[in-house]
Amino acid sequence: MMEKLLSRAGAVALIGVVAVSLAACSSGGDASTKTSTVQKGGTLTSLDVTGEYAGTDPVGVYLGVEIANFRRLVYRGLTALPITAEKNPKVVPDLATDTGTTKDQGKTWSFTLKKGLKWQDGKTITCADLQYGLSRSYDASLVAAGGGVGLTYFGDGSYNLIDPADPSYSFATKYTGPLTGTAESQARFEKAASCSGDTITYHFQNAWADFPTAAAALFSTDPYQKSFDKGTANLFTINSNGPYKLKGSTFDQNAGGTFERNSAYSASTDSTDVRKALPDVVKLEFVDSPETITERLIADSGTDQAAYSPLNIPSNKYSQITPDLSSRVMTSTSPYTRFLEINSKTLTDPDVRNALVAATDKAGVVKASGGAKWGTANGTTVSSAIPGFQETALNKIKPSGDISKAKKLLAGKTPEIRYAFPDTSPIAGQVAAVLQQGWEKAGFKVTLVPIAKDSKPGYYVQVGTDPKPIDVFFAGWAADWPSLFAVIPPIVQSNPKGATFGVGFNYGFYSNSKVDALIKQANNATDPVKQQKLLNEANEAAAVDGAYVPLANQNNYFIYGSKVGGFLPDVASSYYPDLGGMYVKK
Amino acid sequence: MIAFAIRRILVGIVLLLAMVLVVFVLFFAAGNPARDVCGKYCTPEKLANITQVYGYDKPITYQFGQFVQGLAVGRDYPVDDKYREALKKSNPSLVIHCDAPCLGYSLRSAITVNDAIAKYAPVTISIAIYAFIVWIVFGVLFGVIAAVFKGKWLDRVIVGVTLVVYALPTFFVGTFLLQFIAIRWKLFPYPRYVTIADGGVLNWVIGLTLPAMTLALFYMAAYVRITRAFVLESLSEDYIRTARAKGLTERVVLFKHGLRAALTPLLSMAGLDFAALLAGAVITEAVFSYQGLGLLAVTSNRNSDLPILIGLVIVAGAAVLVANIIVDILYALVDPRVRLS
Repeated sequence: MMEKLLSRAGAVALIGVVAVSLAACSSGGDASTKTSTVQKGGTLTSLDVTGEYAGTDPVGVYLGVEIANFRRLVYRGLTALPITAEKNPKVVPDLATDTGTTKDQGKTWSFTLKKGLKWQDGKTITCADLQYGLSRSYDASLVAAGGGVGLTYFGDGSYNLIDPADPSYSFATKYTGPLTGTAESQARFEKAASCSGDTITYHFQNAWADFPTAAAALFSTDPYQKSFDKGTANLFTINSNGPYKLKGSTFDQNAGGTFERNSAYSASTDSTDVRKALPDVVKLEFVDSPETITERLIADSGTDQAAYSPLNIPSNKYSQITPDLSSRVMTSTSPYTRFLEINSKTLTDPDVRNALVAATDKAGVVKASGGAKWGTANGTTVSSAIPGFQETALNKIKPSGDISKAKKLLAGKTPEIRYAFPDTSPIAGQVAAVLQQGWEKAGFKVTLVPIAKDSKPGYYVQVGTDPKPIDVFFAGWAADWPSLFAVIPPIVQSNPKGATFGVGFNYGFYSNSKVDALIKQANNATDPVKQQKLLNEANEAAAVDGAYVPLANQNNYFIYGSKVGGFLPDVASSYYPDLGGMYVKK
Repeated sequence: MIAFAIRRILVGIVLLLAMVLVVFVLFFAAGNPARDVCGKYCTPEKLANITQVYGYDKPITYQFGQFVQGLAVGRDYPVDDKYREALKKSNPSLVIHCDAPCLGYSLRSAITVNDAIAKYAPVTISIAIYAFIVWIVFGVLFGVIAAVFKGKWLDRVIVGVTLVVYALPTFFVGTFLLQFIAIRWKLFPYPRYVTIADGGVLNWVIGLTLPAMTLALFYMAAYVRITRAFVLESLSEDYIRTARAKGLTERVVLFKHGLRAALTPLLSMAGLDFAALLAGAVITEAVFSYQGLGLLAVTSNRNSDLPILIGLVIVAGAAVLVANIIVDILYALVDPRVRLS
């Protein structure tokens, strides 16, 4: 997903009487819970910034922190990732009796619902609810600000849901969802995602080997009650099937929401590996400034003692994190990476692109951004926190840049390049200056194109459109689910012919048939290890071809209140603090 | 007098309509509202659907006409007639009705603009009233004291302090009050807005104090200087000399004669300043994360939520226009020279 918020973290598991600390590049942590017991009750508060949640309707939720929170609070999926410090956790059943069965290496997947599952109004969750939930992904009117993520995978994209009787039928173009779809398209959809009793079967054009993991991380396959559906009016409503439910009828986009226990939820249908549901109340409170959030958590007073934030400590507050706070701060690798996308339609010469890569001062970018606490220079768009991570040849280039190599590649040429970046803070300008300096040393003529935060159209619209008067632009990404599939294809797989806006995150319109062929092989492969190998090969081919300029792997740097227990950023929560295991110490 | 009032009201209505037109054109000319709301995973099909369903493909004049119709009699969403009629037959609960005066519907926030403003207005109005009372009372009080003790040390101290306070930007004062007074030094409870129904009057007042002070300090500094100037001017008039010559006490001269003349223009200014605050104290509400109209404007701008932005601008403009009309009428009531000119 595009980087909007901040980072996630490695892990320190501190649940129960025995403290288990995890190596995985983390430091700091909740030492006091090494001898404390897990406690039920109290109010836990998550402090986040205003306006990040563009909607709570599951069909539109795509923000990592939102997925992480709601998966533990209110929206159960067919499967889930457990609360664990492991770097490569196995997916576990959630609403389904198991993690799905396939008889044709992933082209069809079947899941059977457990018994006793209820919505917050007491009605039983049925297979029809699962069908209905996925069908809403095809309704363009339910888009919200980031909606439609399901179509990226279930539409004419990577896997493509199909009518088994007529695989050529395109749901992405012909099916408009359950509210306005024709009877014929609705009937076809109900064959593509068919119900037999409590068992749903999905049919895909391409084998989807890690579909159970995707189902855990995406809300597209979650159930949705037809009787609850009011279309766009449901943008900020929540119909819970989890241990908590929203207090009040709508979630406030600017203020947040309070979640109380859901009396219709049955813990016997769930697992404490997925949801411990220890606090009585969970508040998601939004504040306008990350600096204010950090101040409050540093002060650690009143109700803020039982508060935490999924945001990183802003770099201008680093100096206030004194050693006495060490038991309440945590650093680790984040799944977010920063890189530059290159407009392959204007910079068509691979030597020029590779010269740009070689001349980039990654170390300077990291320093300008906040130093080691902010991130680590890297050589790929994939975070080291993602299972299957592998470095590329670009890791061998000195972090401060290799100007002589760049000059050799340019062979006397002095290309003019326009570098665009979101002008959201003084740091962005400093980073731009560092990049410009390195590139100009190699011989490039650089024009900076700062794009204001509230410019119209927005930054990503400007850089994602083709054609555009931009040659290279600042970007960031994190996996939508913990898999290389959620990082490599979105960035380097070719856009469809005739596209005028980047699909996935290939806003640079990079196109390489060798890379596309490797990704296609990975899609068709059924062995996850082989898939990872193929995807890493694709990434390597793209990297050495100058598809992008890697910059850094971000780090997480969290702070939390003194009464917060079980603070654990993990894979399941995209390395945001996992609400599933947190509790309030008495 | 009645004719004067009617003239002002009619002119006000014309100005309001003109303002609505300018705002509408400016915002829609700035970009592609359908693209703004389409979001990250925006395919051409989705964009076309939103454009058609919400009428963004219609000419600006048509869209404006629909907007004015909504103001007069209300309107339904989605905008596209065929789409809406089909929806009424298949799923009538999905058709959204917006009562007059309908300021629009925000697809981005799934709420009518009227409801959004009604939801956020109480916080803004509360802060505005609290700040207004503080700045008027203390601004006038210290201004009068400064005028009475003109040239003395008390006058110099008051003028000096107000100069410094006036120079401090609102965001600085607000951030200082929040991060130092409330959070770091814990001299005041962390500010949270609490309605009277939820927390009682005392907690409501406590919750409003820091944001209200942020606003009030700035206006108070200005009103101290203005009051001082008006009072000094008033006290130099001939009729004041006559009053003193007649043997009236200084208290009577000041409060009955001098202050009355000074307060009239002061209160009309205060009315306009208060009306402008009703649009939302953007910086103050953002610093304290108070869910008022100011913060709504900030987040709507950030999210490219055009309908809400248009609604807020119209409401803000209307508040100032109405205040202008009221102030003009009150002034005319008090001073016959105004309505005869």
